[in-house]
Amino acid sequence: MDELRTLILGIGNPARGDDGLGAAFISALGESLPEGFRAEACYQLAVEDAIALSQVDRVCFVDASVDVPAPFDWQPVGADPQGTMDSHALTPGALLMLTGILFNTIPEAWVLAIRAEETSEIREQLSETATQHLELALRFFNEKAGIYPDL
Amino acid sequence: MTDRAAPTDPDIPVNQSRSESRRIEIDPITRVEGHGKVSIHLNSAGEVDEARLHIVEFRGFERFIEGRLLWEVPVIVQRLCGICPVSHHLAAAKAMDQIVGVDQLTPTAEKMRRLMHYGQVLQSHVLHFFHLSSPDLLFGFDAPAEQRNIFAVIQAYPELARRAVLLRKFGQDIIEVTAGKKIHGTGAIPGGINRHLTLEERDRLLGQIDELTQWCRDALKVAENYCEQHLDMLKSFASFESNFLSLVREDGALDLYHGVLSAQDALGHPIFAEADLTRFNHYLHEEVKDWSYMKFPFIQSLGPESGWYRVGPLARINNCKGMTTSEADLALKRFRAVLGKHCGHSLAYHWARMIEVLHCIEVIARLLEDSDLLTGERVIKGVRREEGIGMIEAPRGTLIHHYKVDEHDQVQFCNLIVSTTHNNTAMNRAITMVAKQHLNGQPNLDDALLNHVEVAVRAYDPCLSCATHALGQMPLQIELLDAQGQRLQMLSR
Repeated sequence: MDELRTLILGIGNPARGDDGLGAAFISALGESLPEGFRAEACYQLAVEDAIALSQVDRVCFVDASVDVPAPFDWQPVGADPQGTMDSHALTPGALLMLTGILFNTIPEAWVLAIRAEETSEIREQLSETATQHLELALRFFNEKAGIYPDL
Repeated sequence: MTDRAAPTDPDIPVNQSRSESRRIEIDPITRVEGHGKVSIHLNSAGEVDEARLHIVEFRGFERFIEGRLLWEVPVIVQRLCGICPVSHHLAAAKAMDQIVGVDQLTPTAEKMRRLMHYGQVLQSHVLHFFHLSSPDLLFGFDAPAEQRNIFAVIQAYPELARRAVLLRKFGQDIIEVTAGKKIHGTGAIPGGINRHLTLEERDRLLGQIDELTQWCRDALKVAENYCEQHLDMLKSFASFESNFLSLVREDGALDLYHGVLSAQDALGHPIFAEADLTRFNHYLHEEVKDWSYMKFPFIQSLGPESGWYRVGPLARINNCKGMTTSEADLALKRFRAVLGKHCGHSLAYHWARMIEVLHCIEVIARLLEDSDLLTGERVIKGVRREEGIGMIEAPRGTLIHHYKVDEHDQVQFCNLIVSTTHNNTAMNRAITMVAKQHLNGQPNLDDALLNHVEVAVRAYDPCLSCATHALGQMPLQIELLDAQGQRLQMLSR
């Protein structure tokens, strides 16, 4: 049986304080990913990401959030016809919807939302609290990815 | 979206008592980059008095740059914007070229940078046209909201949407092979570039050119047909005379990477043409208004009242004498045959943008055939200077980076003038016109009417983004200050 292909997308701008959580997550994953896993950082989700999503079985969107409970939230996400596509940036649900319409396939998907303190300050470092949340999110994800390969 | 009386709100037009004023807000504007807000001010008779576009401009980045080493600036500035990082990368690199004493790059370096830039403009324009503006154009401004969105476009025109995604991907692939990475690329460095194209990369891109060029022709046709079939609307919808500013090549041809800074009036008469780009601040000044974070640039010799101008695709198409590629040049001639030599219609931005798309793919094809991309000297140095000004035609218009660097290679001064700022007055004028035409006498606002205002803004493809994208939070803050700088009101979410 072929290996399941999994894409991890870390979203956010590392120059905007805790908005960089997604990129920091990808950086921390490093090269030690299980077979079949691929990780990429991006500022925001864009329409062409639909091509990458059409080529994998599973995708995990990692982003900062000021709305979820600390330290992080892990939820499945599906294609969302109401998802916003009002700018170059898409929501995960909108991107999944686009992928389905254009390529007739939608990967299983989850959002790992890591609790941020602030995301508007021009600063390259994560806040202390966000750093702690990041570590817990990484531990959670590595356990899921390692012990439960099916996530 | 709110429709509310604001009797105690100090943000009201001058010359009106607060009790006479009523304010309608459209918040946020959809399908433009980032978030802004439009406030429409009605007078006591319920007529539109003035409409204002409020943009939370991304300030403070200059201080983020100060103290950085000149070598890292072209990389770091890409964090300014998640939408067009390559424009900032190249504008900063061009400024730093001057700091390291380089006025003329090697042919290899310039062509690699041009390839990167034209790839970026291509992917930016394609996305704007197909995914942000097409719902308005294909279904009409008055179409139901549930239809006037990109998913409806994709359902109705799946092949069009698929091509747009693949054209975007092609542009991103060009950025990746020229800049080294999709984001935070390092390809342009002070004095040149740090990599060649490999034969494999070149052939992979070149192999797609014929098909993609045909798609660009088809896309241009969509814009042409739309404009030709809606000429009356183009002439009446947010159409006004203005000055236009852009870079043009020394011989007057359109050039997105480098040239002479040229301003023309509404009749095409030259206002100035300056080859020495370091003198730009002799020509352009900025006005501050107490209701907007964003400045209002104007041509100094004309003053703030009549010196405002437009930038971007329409300005470039109006200002240039011709295109350097054959098919785009024919497209330019068709544009002028229909709309005239100096067109002031806001909606003509869409047509101009798609002429540039065809031009970009033609330039990319030409560059990919050039062996200088595969070999040749990549970087040079000259006599060190303290100051550098980099200017480039970004997708949305002229982008200016200005730096001063000390003897320790540290940036001591940084000033950035971004494309959307140049268009500030024009966008306010456009939405005021549209609001007056479409909202007067209609006290019960509906989504279609409000969308007319947004359509006018979208034509300019403003980048309101500050590249932050946390789930559940898009930054928006409105602050009011009195003449003494005291805060009267602040709204944030």
